[in-house]
Formats: sequence, C-alpha cells, structure tokens
Amino acid sequence: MSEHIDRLALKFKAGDAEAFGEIYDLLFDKIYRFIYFKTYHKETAEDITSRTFLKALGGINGFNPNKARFTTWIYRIARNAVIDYYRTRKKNSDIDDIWDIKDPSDMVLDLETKEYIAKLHTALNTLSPDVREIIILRIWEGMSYREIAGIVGKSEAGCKMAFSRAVKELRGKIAIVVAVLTVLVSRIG
Amino acid sequence: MIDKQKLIDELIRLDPSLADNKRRLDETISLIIESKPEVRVDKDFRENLKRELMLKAKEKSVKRRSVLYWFLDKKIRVALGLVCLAFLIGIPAIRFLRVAPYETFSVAVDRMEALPETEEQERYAIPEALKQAAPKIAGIPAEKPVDIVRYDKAMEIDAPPLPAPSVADMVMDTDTGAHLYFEERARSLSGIPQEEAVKMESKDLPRRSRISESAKPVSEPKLTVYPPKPIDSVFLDTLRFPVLNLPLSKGYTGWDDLMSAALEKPHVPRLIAVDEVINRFDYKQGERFGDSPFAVASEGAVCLWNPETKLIFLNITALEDLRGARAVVEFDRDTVSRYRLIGFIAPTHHRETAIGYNIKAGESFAFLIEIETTEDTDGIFNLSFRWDNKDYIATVNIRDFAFDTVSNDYKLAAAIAMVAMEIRNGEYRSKNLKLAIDTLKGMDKDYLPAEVDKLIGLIEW
Repeated sequence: MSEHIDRLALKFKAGDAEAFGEIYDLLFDKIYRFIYFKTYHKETAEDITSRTFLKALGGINGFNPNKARFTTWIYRIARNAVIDYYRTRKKNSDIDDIWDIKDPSDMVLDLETKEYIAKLHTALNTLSPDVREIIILRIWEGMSYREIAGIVGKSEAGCKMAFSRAVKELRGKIAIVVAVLTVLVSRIG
Repeated sequence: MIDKQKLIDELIRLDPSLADNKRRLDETISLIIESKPEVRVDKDFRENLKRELMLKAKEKSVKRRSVLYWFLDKKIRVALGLVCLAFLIGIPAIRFLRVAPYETFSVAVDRMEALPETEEQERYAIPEALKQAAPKIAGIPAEKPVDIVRYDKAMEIDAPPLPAPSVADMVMDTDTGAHLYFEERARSLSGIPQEEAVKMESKDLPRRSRISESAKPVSEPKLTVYPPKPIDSVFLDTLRFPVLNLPLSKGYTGWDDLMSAALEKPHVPRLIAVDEVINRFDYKQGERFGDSPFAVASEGAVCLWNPETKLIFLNITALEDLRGARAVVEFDRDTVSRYRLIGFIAPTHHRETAIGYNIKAGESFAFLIEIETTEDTDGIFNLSFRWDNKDYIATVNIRDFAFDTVSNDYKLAAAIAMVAMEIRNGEYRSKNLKLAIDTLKGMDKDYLPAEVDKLIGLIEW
C-alpha cells in the first residue's frame, strides 16, 4: 500500500495530476481522522486537513522517497499543521494539540465530545504528548512502529519502548479510568 | 483498528513483565480501543476539497510535466518496452530475412569539389537529387535502395574515399566524363545493345555551371534510347568553323581510367578522356610567342593513325599568372580544309565569345589537332592569344611533316593519344593498337616515362 502511494506520488511529481487524486482518495480518511483526534472539532479538522493536502500538493518537490514514505511525509505535514494551528491561536509554544490544553472549555469543540474529552484527559493526560500520540497511532490507527517512528521523529525501537512503558503506566491507572468510564456510562444511561 | 490479542502478545514480547497481570493489560487495551471516537467525515467537504485540489494539481502538472512522467506511466512504459523489443529483435530479423529484395545500388559522385561553394541547403539537396535521379535514369526498380557513397570532399562530410569506378554501380560526375559511365551503366542495366546510343536527360542534374539548378529535386529524368547516328565526318569544315578556341584547362583522371581499363577491370572505356591522357606529361617548353607571356612549341607530322591527315602538336606554357586568358586558332582556309581537336567534340569550341581561363605561371597545355590539308601547307594557322584586352597573333608555319623528324614529345603525345582512343573504343579509333604500342616502344628508353612503360606492359600482358 505504502509503496503504491509512493509510486503515485512520484507520478504526480513527474506531472501526472490524476495521481494526486488517487493519493487523496487513499489517504483522506486517515489524515482527517489523525487530525480530528488532535482537535476534536469537525470544522477545525476540515480546515487543517485542507491545509495539509494543499501543503503536500504545493511541496511535492520536497518529497524524497529515499528519505521517507509519502504516507509518513504527509502525516508529518498534518502533525505540524495541527501544531501551527494551536500555536497561532493560543500564542503558546507548548501546545501541540487539544490534549495539551489544560482547560479546553474555551476551545471550540464538538458538543458530544466535550464531556468525553474531559474524562479521557484524566486517564491519558498524564502521558507525554509524544507517548500519547504513539498510543493513538498504534492502537486507534493500527500503524506499524516504522510508520509511527517516521511521523513522530523517533527511532522504531524508541517507539516500541515508549509504547510498552506507556501501556504499563496506564495499566496502573486503569482503576481510575474504569471509574471514569463507569460514571460516564451511568450518566448516559 | 488493530487486533487486540495481537497487541497484547506484542506488548508482552516487548515487556515480559506485563504478562504478570494479563487481565489488567487486557482491560487497559480494551479501554483504549473502545474509547476511540467515531469520526464522521462530511462527504461534501471531502468532494469539494478534492475538486479544489485537483484543479491546483492540474495547473501544477502542466507546468511541471517532466520526462520522468513518461516513464512512470504504465502504458507508456509498456509501449517503450515494445519499441525497444522491436529494435532488438526486429532489425536483426529483417537483416536475416533480407526483406529488401535488392542490394543497394551505389552511386559515386566525383569531382564536386570543383563546384563553387553553395548554401548548406543546396549542398544536401544535391545528393538527394542524385538519389532520385540515379535509379530512374539507370532503369533500375524504384524499390532498390540507392546509396550515395561519396559525393564531395568539399562538403565537409566524413565520407568514405571515392571507390574505384568498378566498386560503385554508377559514377556521376559534375564535370565531364562520368556521364558517359552513367550512360554506359544505364545501357547495360537496361539491356540496351551496345550499338544503340543512350542519352541521359535531366535538366536538374548537377552541372558545373548550373549548381543552383542542380539543387532542385530532379524532375522526371528519363533515359532516351536512340539509334546510332551516322557520323558523316569527325572533322569540322574550316569554311563553317574557321575558329577553334583552345580550352586552357585540363582534367586529371583520364590517365587513371586508362590504366584501369588496361588492367581489364570492369570499366567503362568511354570514360577515358583522351585530352587528359595527353596532358598527363610535361613537355618541353617552347619559344616565347612574340612579346606575349606565352611560350609555344608546335610541330606537325603525318598522322600516326591516318596517313591521309596530318597531326599538329601544340604545347602552350604560361610564363606568368594570367587571368581570363584565351588561345584561339584560326585556320587558313586555303591550306586547311578540315580539322578536329583530339579529345573534344569540336563544335563546343567554336564560339567567338569563348571564355577565358585563369592560369598560373608555368602551367602548360598540350593539344593535338588533326587536319586535312591542301598540297600547299604554308601558313597552317594563325595562333592568337588574348588577355587583359591585348591580342598577340602569329602565324604558325609547319613545313616538314615527316614523322621521323619530330620530337619525342610529339611522338609520345601522338602515340599515347592513339592508345587512349583505341582502348576508349571510340568512333574515331584506327583499330591499330599495335602501331601505337610499337611507336611508344620505339622511342628513346631514357625519355619514355615509367608509367607509359607500365601501361605498355599491362596492354601486352
């Protein structure tokens, strides 16, 4: 799959516009989801997704298949686009995504997720942003360690280590998380 | 989403201590998996964004389309592959199967270096015109490929050396001579009997003085066959043609053609230019002609090949560089009734407005003129020279016509001209080659040029 996307990217780089259309079809959902998990807001995710694909289109000459897969390359663009978005909005250089906002109540969020996010923060917010991202990409997106390493800018072994440590840490806090979920479920019920 | 069990196994592999409380690990992973929010994508947004992106992508691709594009497209790659395959397999196969039914018909074009410089386009149009003309004139099938093996040294092309006439199927020449070879080949290729003459007709074939016309494509050249014309006489009547302009220029290939013919190579005898053969040798310079810048040696004797006529030998040498020089013979009609200039078709040299030649000091020109005389041989002819609007005229008187008393130069010129005419198989030959050879062999051995000795050996062998 990744190899196929790389070939499409090279075709586009060589001047075949239709190849970019194919890339878009293959990657749109993933990129949108990746951004949405970092923003939890539909319009913001759409805005950043647009920026991501436009940047990829405009910067295709910078893509080098010898250095990274196209998938990795565009995830990095998406990741940076999210960081840029929050840093511009909050004028705070420490914020990478919605998870880093201590009190997201002033942020524009989807109504149905507001409460959920608040609770989930309890469980995951104790993790560093990089580790949290690794967990999301590995468990929610099913990405390989190699792909994750490319996106977050770490080594493959480092990603594996961070992932297992994070899960171990979370396991210790599972009681708290379960309690949170129980409360949430009872409220919905 | 990733398989839960696979994830648990992987984690335990990474950190075996996690296996201690597998149930808790399972709960943790389950919690994270289940907490993945459902993401609903707005289809309109997705389509609109794609439309916008594709517009930009197309704009960009038009500007940026590179060679790489053609290699990355699968269909183009396949097409290129097939073309390469066709080259790799097809060309040897065609050669092997000899699809072309004929071998190449080669045309050698000689002496175009004498042509004036022409424009680049004209240069390349000439061989193309020849290619078109050659098969039509020679009567060979149109499918037969024609190859111009060499057409001009002066054309700045790395052409192979001109092959001997026997190597090329046809020789075309912009000067004189080669058209005879051309006609001869045309005759043999078309099965025209030797007795019948052929004439090559094409307005656009290269000629020295019509280079610009020769650059045009040949327009339907044709081969005309006509019955041999009865020759009344090879001589010209002095009453009709009293003036003979001597061509103060000479070619150099006649001797080589004579040697080739003597070697019995496949050769066209008519290619031998007798005047060039005569001028192969340096003759003794004569006396200064009055106060003119010419030296002239003149002798006469009974003609070697015809006792009824007399043969005049003239050797004209320029004593300084001369531009636009002319040499004119005006026959005394009372003394000379008819004449012919050996090696030339006479009428071409009887215009009053003959051209002048640029010649260099030391350059000499030998002529043989066969004449029919009355009994009184006084005052054979007036010889005049002109250049720079000055005329120098003197009468040439030859009183003694005994062959025994003439110089070695005369004998050599006469005998070698006779050999050339015999081998050329021309209309005016005496069919007495032995006499010519005997004459040469009877000459002073110290005088006889080595190449003449070689020629005699070849002929006798």
